[in-house]
Amino acid sequence: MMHDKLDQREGTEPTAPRTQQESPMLDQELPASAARVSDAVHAWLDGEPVSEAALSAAPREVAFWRKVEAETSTRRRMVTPAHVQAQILATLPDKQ
Amino acid sequence: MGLFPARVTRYTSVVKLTQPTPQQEQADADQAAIDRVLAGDRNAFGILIQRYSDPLYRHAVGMTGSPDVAEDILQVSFIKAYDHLSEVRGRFDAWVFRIVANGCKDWLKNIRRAHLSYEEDDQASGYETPEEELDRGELRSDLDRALSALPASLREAFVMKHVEGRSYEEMAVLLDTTVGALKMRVHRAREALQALLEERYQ
Repeated sequence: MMHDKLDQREGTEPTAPRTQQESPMLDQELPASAARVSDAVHAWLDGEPVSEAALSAAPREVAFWRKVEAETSTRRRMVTPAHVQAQILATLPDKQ
Repeated sequence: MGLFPARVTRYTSVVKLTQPTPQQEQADADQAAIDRVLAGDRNAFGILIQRYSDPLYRHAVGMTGSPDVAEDILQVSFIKAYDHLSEVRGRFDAWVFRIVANGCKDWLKNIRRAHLSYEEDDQASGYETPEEELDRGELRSDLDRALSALPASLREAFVMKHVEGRSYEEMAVLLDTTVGALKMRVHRAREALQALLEERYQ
């Protein structure tokens, strides 16, 4: 089901995109002008049950996130290159 | 007579409660490997490397956007973990995750990034059709660039949720924070990413 509304920034002016991050920003800061992602899409992406009707109200968002999800699921299958594990083991000193 | 079934039921539920969870079994197996390493069996550390390197590698690639940098961070982190193995308190996987996560954040902090404005770089791609525009390779590099524009804490949360496929509960344990705080970070990361990418992909 729908989760609580988490975005407290509604109505604020979009800020200029940041071009360079010298250090991690605080959570309160925004990286760029943020889009409004509907609660139904957030809930769907969080794996919560969402009605088809709620999702059909945001077809472009859903299509967009399906594409992103296809890419991220490819990354989820990435494995450590075989030589890395061997390299680490070869570098370890003996314990006293 | 009537009391006996109740006793059986009570006893059964006690047995169920004391069965080790998969997490506990994993933690026990980790501790056994740690004990072997500390006793001088260096190769036992390979068990821990094999068990955790893939999710940690994915995290490092997601955070840095570079497989080469991720390899370096992984190597340095595991060596650090090995050197300080006697200091492990609690879950090894959470402990070693924090070493890698801090390594990624340090790298992000120290790197002098090339001046990259999404708008400046957001030029026509030269593709003829929207289908070509949506080419997976293009999305891959655009997503990397968009992720690199996020603050480390938002990128970390997004990568853990969407790239590593972790639950909020697992993320909360690894990052030592609350599910609510992580949900907020992931939601804000999505909104920022959608803003950065929607013109091209929506």
